[in-house]
Amino acid sequence: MISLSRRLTVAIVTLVAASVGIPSIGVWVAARWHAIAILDTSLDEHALALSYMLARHGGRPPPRADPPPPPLRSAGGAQFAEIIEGDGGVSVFRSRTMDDQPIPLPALLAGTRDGDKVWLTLADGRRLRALVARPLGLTSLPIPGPSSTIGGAGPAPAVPGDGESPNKPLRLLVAHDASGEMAELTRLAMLLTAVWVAASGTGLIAAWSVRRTILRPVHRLAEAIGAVDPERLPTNLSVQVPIEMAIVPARLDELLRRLGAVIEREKRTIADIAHELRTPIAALRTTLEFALAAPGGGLGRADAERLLGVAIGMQALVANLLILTRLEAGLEKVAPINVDLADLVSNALDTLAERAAARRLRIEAPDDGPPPFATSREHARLVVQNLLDNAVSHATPGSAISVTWRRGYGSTTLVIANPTTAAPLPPDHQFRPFWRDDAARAGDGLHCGLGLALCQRLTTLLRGTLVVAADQPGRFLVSFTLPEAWPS
Amino acid sequence: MRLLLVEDYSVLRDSLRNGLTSVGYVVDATDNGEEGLWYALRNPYDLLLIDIMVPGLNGLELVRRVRAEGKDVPVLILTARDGVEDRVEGLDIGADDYLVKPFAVTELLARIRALVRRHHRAPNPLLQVEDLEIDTAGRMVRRAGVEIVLTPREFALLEYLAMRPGAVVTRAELREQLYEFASDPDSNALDVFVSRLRRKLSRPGLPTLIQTRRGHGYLLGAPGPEA
Repeated sequence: MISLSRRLTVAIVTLVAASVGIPSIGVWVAARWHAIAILDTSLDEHALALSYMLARHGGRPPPRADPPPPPLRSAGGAQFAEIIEGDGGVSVFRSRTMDDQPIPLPALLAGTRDGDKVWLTLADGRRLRALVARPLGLTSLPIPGPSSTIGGAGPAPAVPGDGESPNKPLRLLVAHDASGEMAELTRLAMLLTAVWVAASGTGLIAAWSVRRTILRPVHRLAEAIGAVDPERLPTNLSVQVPIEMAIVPARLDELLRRLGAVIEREKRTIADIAHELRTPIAALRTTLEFALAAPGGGLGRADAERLLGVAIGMQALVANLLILTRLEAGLEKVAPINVDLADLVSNALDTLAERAAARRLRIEAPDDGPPPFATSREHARLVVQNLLDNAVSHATPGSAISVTWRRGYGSTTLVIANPTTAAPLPPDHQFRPFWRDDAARAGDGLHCGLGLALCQRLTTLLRGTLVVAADQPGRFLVSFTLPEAWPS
Repeated sequence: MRLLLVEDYSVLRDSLRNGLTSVGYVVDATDNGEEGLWYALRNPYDLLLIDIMVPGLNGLELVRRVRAEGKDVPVLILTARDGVEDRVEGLDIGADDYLVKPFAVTELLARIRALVRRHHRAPNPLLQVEDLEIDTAGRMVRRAGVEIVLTPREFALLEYLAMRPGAVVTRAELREQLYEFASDPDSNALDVFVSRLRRKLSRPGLPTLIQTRRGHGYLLGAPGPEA
């Protein structure tokens, strides 16, 4: 399960750490870049000064008695090693502060090119920033004498071998002790790290506080939901939350209202079922009580037939309710087989013939119908039976019920039309179980008020459509359309 | 006693009509409100039994229109609607009582008797005319302490006369109370009927209780001041 608390903490701490850490790294990088830039500028200037000095002394290093190069822009004063590599050996001029430091010149110079700025690490751990350059105006250094090392700290000059040119390119190496700058940078890095750690810790505390603040309304909401009495659903939760979270209780209130409406509808349906059953039960009870109270206490055949009719009606109501419940629970399954709809209509009309005759109804149906196609026979039969039953029940006595077929592109429609004196069904009540207008039960004691609701749900199951319309005043028309090919 | 029954569920309607007739009531029955209103406004009923959910004219509207016409006939509503609001609405609109389906026949009959007695201002179920006792609840008749067995229709006739002791009840009124609407009894059937009842009530040495007023009708007991 996702922990909002953990996510919030991680997010806030990460945010704070990043917002402090990234600028800190930037500051440190900028400081280092700036320090190196100052060092490099100093090296360039010093190399230039040294070039001039070499030129003034004819390509030889100046004597020790000469004044040192001018002070350079460097923290802590001039700490330069000046190294001049010439043909056949190396001449080294060292500043005084570097006298006792061995410098691995050959190894260093071997891998560098002119203009390179490199780092050197001395034996005592100090770091040097060094520049390898070619002095201006001098392209080579004359072969020195047996020992031209000034200051006596350089290695012995090398003697050129056979085939070697007596004049080799002159190169300078100027180095600057960068230990001070490096130490400053290290201190800066430590300071920035300490700031970052402190900021992250503060972020952790802030995250804990923010988490509590943010989750408090959630807890309040949870308490309000937990306090809801399922037997008496409120229409709103009445919980105070920040405006940013107002959508949550608003949506929950909406959900409660919809849930309440569903429960109300279910209650109404149950009440409707009870009402539907009360009248036939009253008929059964009244008939039986009067029969028992009568001298001789017996039921005549006519009474028995009437009671059987009531029982059949109640059985139909219960069966239809069961199907409706199964449909609404998604438990009804379709097993498509080839079905002759015209055959279903014919069978339904046979079962209704007696009642139609009793109401002097004429049924006009064509002899032929659409070719068989795949659908659920039992469900289609229920729809056809209910629609025709409705027509026989509600058609104006003595009128004609019209049954026609209409073929569409990939579909077949059964159209049933009958004159009626009943008021038109309001569209939003057409498929509501047990809804009836004032005249809905006229003339038929077995009508249970479920027919159209059941047909509509069955039609949906069969991937078809059911349209109820009053195309003319006093005329009821229902169109039942099914696809001729069962959708895969 | 003549009742009007408005009920659209045919089995219940037939059962009630037959059952009430078997205990001595005269019952006119219809399955829709419009026809029920027509009957109610044209016939002198002792009680209307009205279902609310009937086609044509809602039962409550029927009661409202009956009251609007100034008819004070008792109305007992029979309905499957059992909500408090439904009862209040029915009683407020002018019904006298309310019975929710399904009901016990004994309770229905008791309520019918109570409403009829109240309508005829005879609150006591035991009617007494001189030495004649009529138990309207137990459907028993005694004269001078001796029980007399009557058919339901004879009992209904006697009960009707007993509710108007000493008053002349016209033949037309009696015919309306004894026969359903549109029935056409033999012209002297009523006389034969009254004669048979008179014979059953007669006891040696005791005066005749049912008097004939030629050209007017019949009266039970000694004539009252206006008889």
